[in-house]
Amino acid sequence: MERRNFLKSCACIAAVGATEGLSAGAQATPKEPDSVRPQPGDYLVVEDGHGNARSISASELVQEAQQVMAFPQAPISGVIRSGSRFNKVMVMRLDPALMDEETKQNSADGVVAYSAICTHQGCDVNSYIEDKKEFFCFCHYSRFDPYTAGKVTNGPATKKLAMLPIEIKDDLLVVKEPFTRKPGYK
Amino acid sequence: MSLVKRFGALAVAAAIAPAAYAAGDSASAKSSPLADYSPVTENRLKNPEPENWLQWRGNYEGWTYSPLEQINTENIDDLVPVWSYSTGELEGHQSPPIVNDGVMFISTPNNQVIALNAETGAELWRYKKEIPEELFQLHPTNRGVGLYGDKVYLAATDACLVALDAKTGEEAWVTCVADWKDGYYMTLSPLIAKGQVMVGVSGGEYGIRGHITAVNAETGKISWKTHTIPAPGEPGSETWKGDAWKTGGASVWIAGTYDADMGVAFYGTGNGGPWMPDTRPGDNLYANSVVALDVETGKMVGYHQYHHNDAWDWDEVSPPVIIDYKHKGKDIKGLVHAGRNGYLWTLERNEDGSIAFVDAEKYVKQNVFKSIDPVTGRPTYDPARTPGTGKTVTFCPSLWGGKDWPPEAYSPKTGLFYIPAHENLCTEMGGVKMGPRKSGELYIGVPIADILTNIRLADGAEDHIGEIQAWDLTKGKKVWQFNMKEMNWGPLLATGGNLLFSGGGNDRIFRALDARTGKKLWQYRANSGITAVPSSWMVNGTQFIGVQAGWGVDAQRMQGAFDAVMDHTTTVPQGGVLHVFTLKKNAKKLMDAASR
Repeated sequence: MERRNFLKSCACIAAVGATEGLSAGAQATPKEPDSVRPQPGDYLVVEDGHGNARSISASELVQEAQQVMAFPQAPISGVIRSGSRFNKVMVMRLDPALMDEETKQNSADGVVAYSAICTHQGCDVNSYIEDKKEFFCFCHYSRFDPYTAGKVTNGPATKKLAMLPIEIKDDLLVVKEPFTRKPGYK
Repeated sequence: MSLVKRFGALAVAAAIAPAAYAAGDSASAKSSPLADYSPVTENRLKNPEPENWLQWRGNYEGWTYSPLEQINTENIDDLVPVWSYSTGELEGHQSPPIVNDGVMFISTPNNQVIALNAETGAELWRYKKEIPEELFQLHPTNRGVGLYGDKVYLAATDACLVALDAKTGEEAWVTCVADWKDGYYMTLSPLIAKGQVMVGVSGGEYGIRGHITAVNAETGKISWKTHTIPAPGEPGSETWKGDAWKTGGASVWIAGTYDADMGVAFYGTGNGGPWMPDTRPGDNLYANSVVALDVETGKMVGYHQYHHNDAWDWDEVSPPVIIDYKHKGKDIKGLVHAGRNGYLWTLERNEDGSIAFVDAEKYVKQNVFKSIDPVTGRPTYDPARTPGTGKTVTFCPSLWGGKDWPPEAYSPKTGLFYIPAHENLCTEMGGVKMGPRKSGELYIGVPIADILTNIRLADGAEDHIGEIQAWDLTKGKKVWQFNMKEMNWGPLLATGGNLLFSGGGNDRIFRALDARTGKKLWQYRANSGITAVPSSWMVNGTQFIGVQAGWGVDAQRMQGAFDAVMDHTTTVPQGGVLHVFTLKKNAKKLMDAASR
């Protein structure tokens, strides 16, 4: 699976063509390409710690299984935008029937992508509490509802998580629009 | 970098006399203690005046003891709050008020330093270091500034050491000792000796390689850097296999103690990383150790490893306290350490800097060590209490240990050694298979969810968990014990008035005990939980006691773990406030003066 997806990712790099410029709606961004916020057309990939990327296919995601931690990857240059931890996103498949309207609009076939940065003090949100169906930040125990566009269900965070609207192309996850709000806590 | 100042006309005035006018609170150039700021010399650090608190634990030896005795067991009922100060920061406040001839410096979470009039509470200046927004680490706190010459030193969370002009709060220089993007950060108070400002790095949970760095106090240039994990070929490297040394942790969380006559500093080191012992086979020197460094060269002249190949997250972050005592009739130039591993370690510092084992005694429930070698102090382990990758076990004390970072105290007046302890707590923990390390990502090998729910309660937990223990080192016996219902994250302050001050609980209480008996004599309920080092000082003949309240970091995490396994949910309000106390008669005089 990993090899297949990696090859798929490479194929798409060739196919997408020159659509890698910054979108009009992009947030104020650092200059380094690997730190630029996710751009429409970027693929969502899992990084292995050695600079290699494996693209995520929608079909591999099991409903309400633990989230997959991912970064965007520029389609042409192949640059993985992991130079900024604020580009880290959580990908998971939800039950579409339980989603509110905003979540549905930003999802694709039940798959959602959320910023993995807590809106309280910027810790990593990297846990999912299955019985509560909530994302969890281990620093201060804030919880967020993935079915209501990242709404806070338990403080101290007060702002909901940023969503990253996505679409599915050839079974791969592709960024559709920039983050719905600035990721992070400021 | 920014110096936060007041606005408008005051800002104009600041250009003329920034020290006096940088802040409001009706400070004036004439009345500001900054006008005659006293330079801090090594001799003053070695022989601190009773009225001052020049470094985070009061003296080089790490006693956390003030000889002041105006406030004492006879008049403690008259101790009242006299002024307070909001820091504007959430998270865990851990630093003491550090006082030099009427000028106070406190540090807070988010890399802030505030200078105050130590008598009136008037703000003199405020500094806040700009930190990259993306910087994230698990211990957003600071444990106190360092003073030397006419400068104030702050070890910041971006792994940079900042020198400030003590009179103005302006930056003199900034020297970064490591790369925060690679998981390095600093929270400790600097140790300053022989013109060197020494700092250590945290980040063991990110797979860093620990080190201690000395920076020239005047120029900001790095003098030396000594790693706490040897590179291949260096002494001790045979205790590591493969590349494990590169990511082996051994963080330096806490300022060292210092024997000024020997010119040797003693630092505690954190656990090996990742947490599970099978990921780094070998003894893993110099993790979980005390290391002795020549402060002029950084050369490691001695060490003692409390326990090898750690499996329990028992960082031995606290440095040993320098106390000379008798053991079996023999005078010992001692080092004393209440270990996170649940043993009270007594060691001897030799003339050449090497360290000899003297004795070790359990001070809380400990079911891991099966024996301790009477000559070397090396423990043996119970395999059934030793977790590993794919092997979950229960062990005591918990991963937060018998004592975590909060410093002990020693009173030469009572001759007792005081320990803030956790009793009746155990942990259930095991490791999972890990992927490769990613720079700046947690590299622990134990799921976070498991860490947050690790606590298991031993028999006795229903009665109490937090303790303050008093030990007679010569007799090797516990003399008294004060119990607290739940946790105790309270650093201790002993005074010449035979008082022992501390907070530490989720009840927000700051209390004074009789240092001789452990009897509670006084208490005050603060705005938030107290996990900071208290201190004491005197200005114009008035003694003060001060402590920052501000719940957060590991105390808050332990509260979450308690809520996960106990039948309650506890809310401890957050927000930093410095509380200052004095005797009622002096408080009245100060308030009258302030209102004039």
